[in-house]
Amino acid sequence: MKNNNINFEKISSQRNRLGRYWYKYSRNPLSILGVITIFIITFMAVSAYYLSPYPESAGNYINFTEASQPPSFVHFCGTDVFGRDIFSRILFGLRLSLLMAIVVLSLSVPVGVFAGLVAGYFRGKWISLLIMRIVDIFIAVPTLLMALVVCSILTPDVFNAMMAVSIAWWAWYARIVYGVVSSVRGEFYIQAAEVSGASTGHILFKEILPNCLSSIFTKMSLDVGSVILIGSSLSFVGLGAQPPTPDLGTMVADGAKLLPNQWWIAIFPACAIVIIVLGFNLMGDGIRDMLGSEEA
Amino acid sequence: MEIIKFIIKRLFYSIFVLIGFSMLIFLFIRCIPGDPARLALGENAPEWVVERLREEMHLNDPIYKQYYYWIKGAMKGDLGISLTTQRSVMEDIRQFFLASLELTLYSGILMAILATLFGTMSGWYNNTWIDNVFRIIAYFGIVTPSFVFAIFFVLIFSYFFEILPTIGRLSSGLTPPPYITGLITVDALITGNYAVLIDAIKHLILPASSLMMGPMAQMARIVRSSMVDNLQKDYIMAERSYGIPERVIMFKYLLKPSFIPGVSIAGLSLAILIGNSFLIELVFNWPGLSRYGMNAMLRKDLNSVIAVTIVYSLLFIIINIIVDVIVNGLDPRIELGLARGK
Amino acid sequence: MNNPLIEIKDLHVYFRVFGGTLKVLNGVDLIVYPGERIGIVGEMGCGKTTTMKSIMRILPSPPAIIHKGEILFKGKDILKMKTTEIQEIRKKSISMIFEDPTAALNPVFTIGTQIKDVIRFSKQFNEKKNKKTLNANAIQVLREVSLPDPDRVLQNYPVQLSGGMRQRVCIAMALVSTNNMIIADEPGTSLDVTIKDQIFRLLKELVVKRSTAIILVSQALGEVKGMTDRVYIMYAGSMVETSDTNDLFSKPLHLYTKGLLAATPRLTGGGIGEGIEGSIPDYLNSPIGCRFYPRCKYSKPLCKKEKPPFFKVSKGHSVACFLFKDKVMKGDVNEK
Repeated sequence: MKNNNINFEKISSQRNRLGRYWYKYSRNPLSILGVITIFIITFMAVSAYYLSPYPESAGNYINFTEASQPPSFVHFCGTDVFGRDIFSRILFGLRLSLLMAIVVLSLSVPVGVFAGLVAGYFRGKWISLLIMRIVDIFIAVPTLLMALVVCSILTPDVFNAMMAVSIAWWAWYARIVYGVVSSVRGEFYIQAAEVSGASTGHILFKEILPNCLSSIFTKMSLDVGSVILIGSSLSFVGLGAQPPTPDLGTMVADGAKLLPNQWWIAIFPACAIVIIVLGFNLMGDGIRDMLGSEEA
Repeated sequence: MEIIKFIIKRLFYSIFVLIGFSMLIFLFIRCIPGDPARLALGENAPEWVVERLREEMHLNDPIYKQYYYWIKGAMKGDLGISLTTQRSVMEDIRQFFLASLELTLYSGILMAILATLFGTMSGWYNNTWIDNVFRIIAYFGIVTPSFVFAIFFVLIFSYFFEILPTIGRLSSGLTPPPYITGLITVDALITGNYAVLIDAIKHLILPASSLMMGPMAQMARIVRSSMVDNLQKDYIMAERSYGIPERVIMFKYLLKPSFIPGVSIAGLSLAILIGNSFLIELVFNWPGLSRYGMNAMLRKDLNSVIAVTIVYSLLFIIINIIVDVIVNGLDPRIELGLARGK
Repeated sequence: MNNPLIEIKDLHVYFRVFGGTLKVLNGVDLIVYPGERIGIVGEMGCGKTTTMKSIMRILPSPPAIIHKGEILFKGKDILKMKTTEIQEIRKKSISMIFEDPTAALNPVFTIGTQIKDVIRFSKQFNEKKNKKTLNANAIQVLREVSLPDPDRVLQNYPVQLSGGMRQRVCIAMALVSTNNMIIADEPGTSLDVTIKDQIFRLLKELVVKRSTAIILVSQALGEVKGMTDRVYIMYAGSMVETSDTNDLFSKPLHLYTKGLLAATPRLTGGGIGEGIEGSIPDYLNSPIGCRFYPRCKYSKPLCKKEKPPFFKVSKGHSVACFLFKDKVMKGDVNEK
């Protein structure tokens, strides 16, 4: 009986909090649109193999009888010069874009956050100065430029492109976290934890980190779109996925040479890029509004 | 006086960052597998030729020595030989830099003006239809990559309507004006060559617009949101209650504090703009530093890549310093607050 | 008695938020006559600032909604006026002094710029408005609020002044743009006690000199004692008692008023009063009927069902409580 009561309270307070988050998030219908778009895109990407009408188009497929067909009921987005179905290739290309976002953020965020935590906590000590100088160096250059440079040095490859963008990205998280940690550093509860013998690891991760979480999540949700943008820019210039792997950026580049006659080869992948980035940005804005207006 | 000290301090610091950055790039480039000399000369070159190039490029020396040679050369203004153009990199930079400057300059000015205009109107009329229209446009500006804009603009204005050109700075058949500033528009204006001026402007429109759409949208959003924030501020309420007319509040008392985040973001937006130029110059075949750098990257012309990156980093650093100075000028709280020891 | 300057009739203001509607003001009645000095006393959250902002029409319009009621300024309903008319009133007739002078001054402009603009757009100082006269007027205005070295103050930014000086500047600007009434919303709250005293004395002096009406909003009864002629006690969104200031202190009627008075620590012994059980009601699920009902020792079933109107108990002294229903004096509730 006693157990039952406690569980009940805990669930209801959690549910209340989730409910409150959802309420705030759903205030803006555009944010809902964002989430829906993301769901649809993720679903399409994951089940690309099953959804695409011509899955062989994703590979080394050549069929000149079907080449360069405008959009029709048979081929929703037309075909390219090799006869490959553009719609199917877009579906597979979505996969790469999503993968890039996941990989880049999984790599750069932990590294950046950790660097920022250490730099902010040990402020004034040499380790902090060193880290922040390194951060400054990485931020000294526009992100796209940094990614381009790194990527061009390595062999053009999807994996290397992801590495390049991750390398360009981590420093921004370090900077944000450094800012938050610096301001939280002087709070009394940190000093209290230090005095009562808590280990540095505990302080960093259990006391300080939770303060940064909302900034981190906000930035992450807004960054997904940017990462996909930069990724597609890299592959547009040929530094990402190599043929025949379908990638939205490369498809646009290929189609750009054929404008305006075979416009569909470039336009449809371009619209796909816009839609996916739009969805993530809407969702990111919603998350930012939801986390930011906690003062309500 | 404070300003001068501030600038000098920042410049010193930036030089250190630049040196650190060059070391980083150097490390990256020289550490990867692959033989730059072999790449430069191709598969069929005989081994002894490649070996000689390797000696020249100090590729057999330890890394710190290579860096030392490079720095020594850089101090003298010698950044090496470009593998693609077979000329000194410095020459190449000199030739191409001004073209990029012209494009980036106009694009940047356009971006700043439009962003301020849209952001202010959107913020002032927030939650009305004007605001909603602008927000939608701004949204598409942010989510669309610059090259997609380029494609759409080319499709509409060059193929559909056929009013704007897509390649280069001037139409073939027109001679460029004499080299005074290196900026074709300015030179044409000075020498009174209006036909060339108009042609040059026509060539500028599409690339400049594609370049700035994304950053402009971002800046407009920040201007708008800072406007909306400031609209709620107590002092606006107070100024209203003192009888100051809406017109004055909008153009004077709201604009200046709202502008401060806008200026900060302008620096960042310019960075994005510069990044975009690498794509756009390629698409429009604009003979600028970014296209040169892009080609160098694709061909692994390392000297050129390093040089171009350094040049742009320097530019970015200067922009940041200017932005900081302006922000300090606009917001008295920063300096004065410090002076009072708060 | 001559016509009232401000008359608020049954004002209901609601705020739409997460989970429903906050019915903050549920029927505020207020009258101010020309030249009168009125105090409004109530605890935090009782709706004083909301009422004042409604008069000035500076409530943020979502989420606030004016559900019903009227605010008459010289007979015309402010709530129905167009923006241009409101601006005229703000320019010439009513102005407001805010609680936090730091937030009320634009931080990126000098004091001089802000004051001169207020002067330029006001209808006082009928001489031609050029740089010299504006400057001279600005200095004169700053002298009136006893600011030392007005020349230097004009060139300063708000961040360079102390709290008391900033409040004086706000008072100066409010005085320039008003002929009829000043609303002072807790003007001393963010100031040191000694500075607060100076500011209050300055305010009283200026208001008496110009025969301007003033509404002084405060949380502390003590603040209004020397400053005002008449007081309203506000609780949870409506007025519960009003009387001449002296009467209120000697003969408080409403239980809440009595509690407030008892809560003031006295130097002459007696310690601190026991306070009143309970807390202000939840505006989200506000009950109909008297909002003080849950905390009232003498409540009756009627109190729960109906909101008590004002009952006039003696000249100038009315109370909104059913306990006094049978003690009503003849005559208009709001007659002075």
